Amino acid sequence: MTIAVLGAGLVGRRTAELLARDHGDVMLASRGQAGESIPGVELLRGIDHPRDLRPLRAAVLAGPSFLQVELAEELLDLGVPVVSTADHPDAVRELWNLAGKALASGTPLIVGAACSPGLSSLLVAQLARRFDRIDAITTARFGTGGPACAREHHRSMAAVAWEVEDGQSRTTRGGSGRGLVWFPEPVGAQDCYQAGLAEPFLLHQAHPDVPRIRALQAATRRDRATARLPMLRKPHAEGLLGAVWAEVRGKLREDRGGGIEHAVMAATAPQATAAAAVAAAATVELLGDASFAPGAHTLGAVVEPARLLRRVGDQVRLWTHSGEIVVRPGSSGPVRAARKWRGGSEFSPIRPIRAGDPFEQADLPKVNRLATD
Amino acid sequence: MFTMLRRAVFGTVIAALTAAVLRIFGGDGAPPQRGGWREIDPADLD
Repeated sequence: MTIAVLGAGLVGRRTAELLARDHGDVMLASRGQAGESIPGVELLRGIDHPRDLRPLRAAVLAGPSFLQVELAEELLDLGVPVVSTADHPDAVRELWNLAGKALASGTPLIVGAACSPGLSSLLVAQLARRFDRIDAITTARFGTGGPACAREHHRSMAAVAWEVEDGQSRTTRGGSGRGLVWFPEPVGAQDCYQAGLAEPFLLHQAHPDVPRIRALQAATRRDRATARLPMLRKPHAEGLLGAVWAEVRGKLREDRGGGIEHAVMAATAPQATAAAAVAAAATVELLGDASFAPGAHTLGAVVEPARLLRRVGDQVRLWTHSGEIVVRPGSSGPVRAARKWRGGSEFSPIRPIRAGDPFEQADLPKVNRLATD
Repeated sequence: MFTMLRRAVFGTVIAALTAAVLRIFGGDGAPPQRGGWREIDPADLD
């Protein structure tokens, strides 16, 4: 049977291309033009409803976010497993609310299988496996994919942002909460802000016990200043530089020492390529041996994130961060942490934090262990 | 002339004192001096 990709934008076309390499029978359907031909992919245009297509094995939704809700409902009614790339937070919530319908129809629905959410959720899931207890999750993203993604970036900077604080979901102002995030080169250090992103909601579903979850988005001063205005110029055809970053803080598993640590991973790729790789990998996983149970799923809660990360590894570069403070030759005494990293008014050298110590961000040593998995 | 010189010296002293205070108390400590981003081979993930 056929796998259908609904939506012929950058993400849809690349997803179809990637799926066609593994599965010969792939169709790319769109309401309007489907664009140039892709080897091994059947192009269909003028398709308004999934029921107009022949029986499907699975469907990847790669069109506008809100259109995906309507299509997902129809597909679930038809009993077709669905992979959604929607990134608008309201659409993602609506898709998540289709869990009951998915359960009733005995069909899995994967929500947030794109770059962010999607790849960032997988990084969090991979990092989370090291921890017994997670105190905070932060994700950040840099760049945009196609024009629709650029418009979403613009919208989200002026939208209401969501975060989880003390285990409760709450709103905050888009464009607030600035943080300097070091992405791998060539992106480097970027100012990132909270924005109207879907990531906190999905991560909260995947990790309901985590007290603090934030999602940030890189933006320039001009992005912030013009966020509440219409887009001043047409978005680029594609942003070729993209990255996602994820940090998990908490108490390590006992077999990893049981200490308090923060672990960081990142991935770099053009965002449209990364989103397509994740959507294709999720579809393959959906159809594979370890198929998802009926109901709604997020990639932040997959049991074996490494397997999905290996699948996207052909298209995406994965990174882990390690850093340590070393004593310069000839210097004496303990290495001093920055004032801003120290808690209280008294100077104290960096000390390892043991399990059971009260967890405070200010106490965290700026020493990252090698994150090899 | 003397007034201008006095103001210049006064300004220089204030600037030097401010710089000294920032230099002594405003340091950012030791940043990570080794390590950084390391690319992972996806096959190595467990």
